[in-house]
Amino acid sequence: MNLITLAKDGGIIHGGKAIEGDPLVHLAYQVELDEGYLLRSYFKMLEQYPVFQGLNPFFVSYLERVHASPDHGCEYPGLECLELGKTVEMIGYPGKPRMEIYTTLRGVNGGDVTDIDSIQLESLLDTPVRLGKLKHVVLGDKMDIFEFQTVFTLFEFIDGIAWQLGFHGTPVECQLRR
Amino acid sequence: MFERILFATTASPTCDDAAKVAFDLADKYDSEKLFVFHVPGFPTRGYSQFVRDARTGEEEQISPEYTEWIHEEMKNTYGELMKGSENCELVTRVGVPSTEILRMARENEVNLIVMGAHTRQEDVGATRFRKFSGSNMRKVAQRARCPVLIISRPCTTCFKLFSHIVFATDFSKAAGSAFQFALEAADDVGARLYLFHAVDISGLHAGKDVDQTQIEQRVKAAEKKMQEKYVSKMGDFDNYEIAIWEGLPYVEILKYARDKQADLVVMAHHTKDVDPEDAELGSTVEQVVLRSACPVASVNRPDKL
Repeated sequence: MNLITLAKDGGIIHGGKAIEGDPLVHLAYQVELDEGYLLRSYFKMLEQYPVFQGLNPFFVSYLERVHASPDHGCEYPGLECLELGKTVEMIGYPGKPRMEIYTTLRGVNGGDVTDIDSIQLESLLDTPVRLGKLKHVVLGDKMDIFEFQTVFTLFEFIDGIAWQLGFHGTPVECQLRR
Repeated sequence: MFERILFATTASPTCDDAAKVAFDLADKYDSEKLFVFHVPGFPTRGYSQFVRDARTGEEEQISPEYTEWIHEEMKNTYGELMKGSENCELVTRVGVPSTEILRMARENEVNLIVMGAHTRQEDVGATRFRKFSGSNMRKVAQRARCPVLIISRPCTTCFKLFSHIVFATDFSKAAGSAFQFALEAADDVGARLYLFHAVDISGLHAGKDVDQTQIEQRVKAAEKKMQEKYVSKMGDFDNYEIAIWEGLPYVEILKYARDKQADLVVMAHHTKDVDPEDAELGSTVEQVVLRSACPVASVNRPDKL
């Protein structure tokens, strides 16, 4: 019912047609990704629905970088896709026992999962994006992690990717003066 | 410049990036002493022989054997880095980590404390909830009388040969101390110094948007302050440039640091003119530390500059 499809061209499809008008009402809807959805599609969505750009302070500068990038071929060698996952973590120490729920965007290469912080945004744009599972981490045990099917809302999708991209400011190279 | 460096470590892989920087700095500056300092746990009560492990929460019995075992672990962990560092000393103490780090720094008159930003291996997604509130890093940054270098990410540029230092200021009193440190560091190693201020136009505090005329006025006022507060104190040092951007301060600082290929960002510990004893770690420096690809030096007081 409350399901939207994010199209490769950046459109948001609901009930078989692209939504028009204010898209904010769809933030709580469950998302599925169109075949061949890329990280570039995510930025196309932000351009088609500019109101979403207010959700993260880095969007404006990242859109500038996207515009300055080649239209295709922005891939990182050996990176098969980006996977947005969700983690529910029970934490016992330090501090008071608590439970945290957060999203993570990671690179996938075959069966391996890899951090992508050090990869420039320009090298990720044409990497496919997919939705992953929910991981349940109990009291720091990262060896025996339970995994479950889950759903992502449009807000989780936009915010989860935006949070990760906020860390992608690594200098390209070291420019030594001496 | 950094004769005595204190590297405060959890003796776990979360401090590996900080360790690299600490040893590199000691090597670069030919430091007289590099203390590799670890506090294994909190005393359970009074003069008890038991401590609660700072990371796991498990109760451990403190004994010479236990301490020796910790030293061995530290030697194994940092063995490779210690090979080229003859002035390195491993030290462990029982107590509240932030208190012991500060005590150790004070007793040994260290010029710089190097720390990792986290005590746990974090997913990027989890950091938004954990931040640094209540952490040892936060407490040390607040009370330390010397600069605290915070490393949260692998240093992709070579810090020991750093050549671009960004000093981000809000013109507060604490920022004056940060400037002094940034200038000395830049002068000492021949780095280019970037004096940066972000005019906050988020309008969140005022509850209204700021118009273009106001922004331009504030930019001009900031340029004037840069000249008065900093450039006038630089003497012969001319390897610098000034930039005033507008936007959300932490976003602009990160963008500017990236743009200038910064190897080090220097900021005041807090962003308002309050007593350092009462100051919380400023939200701007916290956001910058969290995301910065290069080390961030938090400076609070001019005492040990």
